[in-house]
Amino acid sequence: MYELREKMKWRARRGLLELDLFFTRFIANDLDALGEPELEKLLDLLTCDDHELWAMLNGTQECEVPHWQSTVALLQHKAAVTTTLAGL
Amino acid sequence: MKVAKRTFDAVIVGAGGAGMRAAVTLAESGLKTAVITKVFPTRSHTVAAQGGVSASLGNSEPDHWTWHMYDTVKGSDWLGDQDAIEFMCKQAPQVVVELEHYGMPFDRLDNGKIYQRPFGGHMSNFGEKPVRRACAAADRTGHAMLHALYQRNVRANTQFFVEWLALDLLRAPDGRVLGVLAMEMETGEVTVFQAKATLFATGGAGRIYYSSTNAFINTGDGVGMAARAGIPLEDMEFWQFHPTGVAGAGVLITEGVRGEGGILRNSDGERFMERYAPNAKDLASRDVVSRAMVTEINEGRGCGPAKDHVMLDITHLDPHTIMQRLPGIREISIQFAGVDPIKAPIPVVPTCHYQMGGIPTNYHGEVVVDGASVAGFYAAGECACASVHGANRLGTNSLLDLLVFGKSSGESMVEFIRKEPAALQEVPQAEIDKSLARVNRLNTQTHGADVHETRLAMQRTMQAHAGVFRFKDMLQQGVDKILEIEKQVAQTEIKDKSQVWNTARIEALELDNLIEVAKATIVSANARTESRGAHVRDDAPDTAEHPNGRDDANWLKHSLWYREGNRLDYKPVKLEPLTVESIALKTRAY
Repeated sequence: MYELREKMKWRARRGLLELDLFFTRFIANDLDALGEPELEKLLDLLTCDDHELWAMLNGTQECEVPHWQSTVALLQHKAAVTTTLAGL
Repeated sequence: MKVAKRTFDAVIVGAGGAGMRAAVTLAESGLKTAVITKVFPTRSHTVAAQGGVSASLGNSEPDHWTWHMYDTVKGSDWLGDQDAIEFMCKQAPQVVVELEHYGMPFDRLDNGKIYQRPFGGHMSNFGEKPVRRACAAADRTGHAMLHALYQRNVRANTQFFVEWLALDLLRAPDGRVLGVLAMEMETGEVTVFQAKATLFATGGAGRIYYSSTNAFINTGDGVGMAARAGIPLEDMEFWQFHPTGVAGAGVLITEGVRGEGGILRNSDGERFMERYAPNAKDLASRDVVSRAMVTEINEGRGCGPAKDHVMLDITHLDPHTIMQRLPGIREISIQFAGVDPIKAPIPVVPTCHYQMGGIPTNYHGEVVVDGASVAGFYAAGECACASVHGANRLGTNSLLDLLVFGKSSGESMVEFIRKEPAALQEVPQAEIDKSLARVNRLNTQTHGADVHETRLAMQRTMQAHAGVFRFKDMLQQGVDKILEIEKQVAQTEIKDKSQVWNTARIEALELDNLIEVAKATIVSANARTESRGAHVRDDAPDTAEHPNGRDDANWLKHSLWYREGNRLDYKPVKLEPLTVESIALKTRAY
């Protein structure tokens, strides 16, 4: 589990700043709560291209891969923003 | 300590546009080519490039590479080397067509030719009127470019080492570059990548600033490694900024928001642009708006607890207008500022975007020190300084830089490698040990500095002291602060000492690179007492004697920062192009 979490942290480093910021929030608040199956699915989702992934996460594009849909929904719910980010 | 070794004809560090373009040339020449990359190639920061790539194809109207060259020299505020600029602009049509043949899905005209659109600063007939020169694949040009280049590399059997972090450059006693030491993130194991020729294509280091549009991976790894290996860094005081990035996040808010009626306000709620630009107000040019914002912040009228940003207010606009015309901006504001701009203003600050300086090279991609090429060492893309961007980069020349100098580096490396003897020189153990010592220090450091806090201190210092608008006293204070922070960087501590996927250790190693870039930037900026391009100083204002504050008599020269002794040297700008007449100095005005 530890290794999976650490791997996810690195794979959340992306080419688009928007995704970096999005996942920073998620990692800080919610990553530890994920079980192994959810982590595996998240790592699979992270194989997506950056623009496609960002479009799914910000809701401008439907997630068309059935086994990713729950993960996308979870990320959207957990990473909903309430405060200003600082110092990233 | 003995470490594993892999040998290649060529090693490339970085798999963005420049690294992958060079790899295509090397691998298709039949050479054994390795590409080491921190992230999967198509997730390099090139993916964020939207605007396009410039080339005087003339598909929609007459254009010529000499006009492109003029725009680039003018954009550079005459600090760009005109031989390299001629080379790049002349090569542009060819590299764009090559990319098309690699499968790049450029937008097209009805006649099937590549569609070209206008872009700021692109002019025909030596600055006469706008011309359509930017080739794009919708708003995902960088993304499409990475995919086309990656597929071509797969076809050519380039070997990718994905999720490996290059640690340090390895040099022979005579200065020749022998390769790099790199760490595999999955195992934490360290390996020597030895090659006849080594290319750095590691991108920029925009993360030295608190507010940056750059992705987190942009930590200047190649620039830091080069500095530690004794290579000077050129023109590092020149960074391109955008006036309105979301404060604390960096994501850009387009100028279109002010076009729709957005107003910049200080902590008193005052529309301060009325004082700085009574006519254009909030629609004044980027540099005027950025300077006004920084002045407000410096004079204590910034917003927020740290008084370090201003507000972009669109609450007076009809909500339907915001929803219809600025939906993306509303989403960005909610996501990254935590405010709905219909109800509250967006916190914004001038934000770092692009690094003009870097590892000094010629237009062949060869790293040049003291007028001579460093055998076996090449650099291309944002980490390199050819120098084609000089003091300010022309829009869409960043992707062109990747293609042209990625290709020319690759060709130079092929030529160099073919002349080399088959046997590789022994890598001195002391070189390996020096790099391993950096990793071992992290593994054993106790009671040290926190990586996140130290990085934040560096970023805040750079933002406040060497941002978009610079002040003499602030710069000097900033140099002192950064040199203090450097001492903390040398003592960073990580709590997690594990070997596998240790992101804390990677971030600490990246900070070693960032601090070199920060030092080079602020020391070079402090010394350059003129204003030129993106380097604008309060004490070098626009006067009749020095229009725009530029001082050609004393400062028409490239800065070279040396890590050893934290010293500066200078070298002349190459004002002579390869085949055409020099573009004479004049005031840069648009």
